[in-house]
Amino acid sequence: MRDHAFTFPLPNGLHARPASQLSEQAAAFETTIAFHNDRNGTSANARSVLELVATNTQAGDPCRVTFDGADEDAAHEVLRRWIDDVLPGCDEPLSAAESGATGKIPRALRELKVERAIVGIPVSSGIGLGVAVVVGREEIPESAFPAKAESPSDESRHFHAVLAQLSSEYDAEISNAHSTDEREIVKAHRALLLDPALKRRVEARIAAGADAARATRDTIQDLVQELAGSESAYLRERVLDLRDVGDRLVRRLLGIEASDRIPALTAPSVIVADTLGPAEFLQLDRSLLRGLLIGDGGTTSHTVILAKSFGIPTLCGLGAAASCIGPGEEVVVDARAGVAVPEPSGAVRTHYERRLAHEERMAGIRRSWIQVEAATADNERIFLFANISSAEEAEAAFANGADGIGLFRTEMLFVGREAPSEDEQAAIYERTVRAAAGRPVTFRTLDVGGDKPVPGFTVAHEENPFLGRRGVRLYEKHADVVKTQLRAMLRAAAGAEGVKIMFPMIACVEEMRLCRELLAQAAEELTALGVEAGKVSAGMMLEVPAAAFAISELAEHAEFFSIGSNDLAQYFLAADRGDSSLAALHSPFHPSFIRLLRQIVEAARSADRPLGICGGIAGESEALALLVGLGIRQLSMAAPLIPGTKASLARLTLAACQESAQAALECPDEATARRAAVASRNDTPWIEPGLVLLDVEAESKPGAIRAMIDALESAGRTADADALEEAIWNREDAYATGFGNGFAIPHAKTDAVLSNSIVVARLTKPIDWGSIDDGPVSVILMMAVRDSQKDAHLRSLAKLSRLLMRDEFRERLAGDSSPDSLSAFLLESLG
Amino acid sequence: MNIVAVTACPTGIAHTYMAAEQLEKTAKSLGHSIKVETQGAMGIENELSESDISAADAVIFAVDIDVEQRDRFEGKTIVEVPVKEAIRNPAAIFEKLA
Repeated sequence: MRDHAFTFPLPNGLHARPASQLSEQAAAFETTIAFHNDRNGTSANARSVLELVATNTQAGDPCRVTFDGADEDAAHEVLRRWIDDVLPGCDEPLSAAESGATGKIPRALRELKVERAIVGIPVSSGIGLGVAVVVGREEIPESAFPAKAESPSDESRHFHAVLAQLSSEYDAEISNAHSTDEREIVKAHRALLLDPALKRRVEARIAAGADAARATRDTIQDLVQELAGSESAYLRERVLDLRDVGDRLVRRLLGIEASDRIPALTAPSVIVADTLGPAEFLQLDRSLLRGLLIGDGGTTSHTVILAKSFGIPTLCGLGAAASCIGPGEEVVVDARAGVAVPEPSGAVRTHYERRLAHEERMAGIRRSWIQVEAATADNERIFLFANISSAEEAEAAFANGADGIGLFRTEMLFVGREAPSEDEQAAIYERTVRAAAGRPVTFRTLDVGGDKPVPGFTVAHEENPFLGRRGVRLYEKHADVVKTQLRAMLRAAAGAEGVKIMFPMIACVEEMRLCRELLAQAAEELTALGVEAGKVSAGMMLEVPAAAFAISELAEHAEFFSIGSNDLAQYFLAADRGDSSLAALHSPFHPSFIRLLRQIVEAARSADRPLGICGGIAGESEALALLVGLGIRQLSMAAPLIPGTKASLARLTLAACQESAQAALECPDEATARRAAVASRNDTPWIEPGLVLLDVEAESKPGAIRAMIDALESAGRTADADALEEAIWNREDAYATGFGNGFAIPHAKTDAVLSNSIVVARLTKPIDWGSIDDGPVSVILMMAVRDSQKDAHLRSLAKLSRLLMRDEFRERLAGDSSPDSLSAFLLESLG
Repeated sequence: MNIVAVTACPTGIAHTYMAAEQLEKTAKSLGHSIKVETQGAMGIENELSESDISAADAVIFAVDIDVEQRDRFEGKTIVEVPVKEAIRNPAAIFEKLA
């Protein structure tokens, strides 16, 4: 008998995902493995996900795992390491678990004083309008169950046959999943289906004379109750998963169709349901699904994660409020603000129609950038690559207009599981290369250790894991694992172009030599087997500062370099990137760090090696001009950032970028360098024809202001339209900016605007503005300047303000009906 | 009349200058001479010197916020109005000076 005691580390408690991983680990051994929670005295068979979950284990609970049987020593060793190294990291939220919505009701909507608004928790952003389709709860009627049970052995046989059949259906769904999220969720469902506790309890009921279907239904009900009584909200949300699996299993046992409570949608629809399971969500026709309103379900339910990954506006936690929306009612789901508005009419309806039109316009603008080559205004080509960690993401990245894959983080294929086989890896890499269709794909070899433990590979207890055995430092000892990976990559490269292999954490030439040696061996091994090894180029990450000063020597072995800015900054500034209290220190805008980047750019240039950057800074809009100005031409970032980055690039000139990089290099501190780095945007002209809005239809001041903010957003001049709107209103609240003669000048000083801007709007009919002469307003001039401003720009505004006091100037603003000439006239007036 | 004035508004990018323009325009049309100091986002501009102030027959503050270095005007009679008054009806302010 062996045991291992530990304190439970996960903030969400022992829920289905870590429990299913623990049970997988335990399943590899013969010995009896039990999990004990010493706080509440519960125990569980470590092979049963459901029993594990039912122990109600919370963060900080004292726990033990005991081993009793033949291979107890081996089991003890493996599970102890898994618990210490892997368990603390296996609560990574699935990608979309956190809410992206602001949940803040924008001013335009507040001013409208909506009467029938239902407030919910926004869990994915966007706005949708559709007809409410109410999905009621559908229980299987008692009459569907058999009148009497067959013999227990027949019932048991039936149960196991159906279980096996369903299990293979889940397998097929896993391999056909559309996204990583979807696949993980179906996997968790399969684990629930095959759970030993479920089987054991159903068997017990069958032995006591129940038929298989009733035995299953009642067992699921018991388990649901146990979960629903859990102390953790996270566990309670898993009830949805269990109901989904249970419903499918019971129906299959009865030989009846899958639930038809999920209707076929016939028009743009909003689903209203007390509860909606993830499998049910996947049955919905997403081309007609405009929104989800869910009574229960918190922000981490699998349904919500799926809704977010498919971009469906969703509110949850509506409780009984959801039931006051009737079927057939039209309803707006505003997941940006966190409200649902049934039967919108009058001004509210107009407001939302405009919001939807604007969102559509923004989506169109985004799409229009996808096909455009990334380049500055003066045609300096910049290559925008995507950072990914699965083959599916590669497809999404190219759909977003990526020029290639700049970083495939292959370690994600290893974390929290056994090492994938060469064939499995080759299939994933091949799929990625296929999606790239000749565009470059950079696979980074296994980069674990530090914050990413992998059992049997990384070292358990290190004083300083980030300075310990991570990345390439583990390759000598685990050459077999690395070579397996390299062989899979070389196989994927066969017959393809643009495949690159990148080695992580290289600090010195010796390490790069080892990597080249492993790569050569992997190629020879394939050749010996008669398998084709493709042509690849091999390069390295620049993330250890020492490597930045050995680039000419490293270039003998590395055909390209890619800056990993997060780790490079962490090591260079000696500031833990995971410690938020050190965030100010761990910033890429320190002049010292910018000088390091310059040194790297120059060294790579004289070594004649391509240089890219794949760290967080590559996707930061504030750093764009700086990086281009320093001479970096390949930026690799999260795929959704690519279209917006193309739009930003098109507004920069190379000369302006070089100027701001030079200015940042000369700054004394982080704050001034950051400001200097964005300064090039201030060369953007104040106004462009698209910001002259003639014939604006607005019923009220909030509508007029929002129309102007929308124009700024369409022009790419704000990344946070709601914050800009709020800043404009803060000034209006001091006192209204209508200054008489039918004119108003709403204005704000805020960094929510990316470059100093002026918008002119002429209204089709005058509206009240609270003006100082009490008269209505029909011409509006909005001025938005950045917070940190050079006096020269403010002086332009002062000049403009004075001009507004002149009759002939106002007449021109009110009368000129050409956006081009009015925009040119204003630019001239600003001097 | 020889007049000095100060304008200052909360954001300091628009109304300060609109008020200054109105006061200058109106003074000119009424045959007065005027010097207007603006206290805006760029700080103090067209600053009034001690001699400007001592030579002035009248002082106008068109302000929504506290005037910086107000002690310069000690002993002077000051006509103080909100900024928007200077924009809406500047002539009325000059009437008060008489």
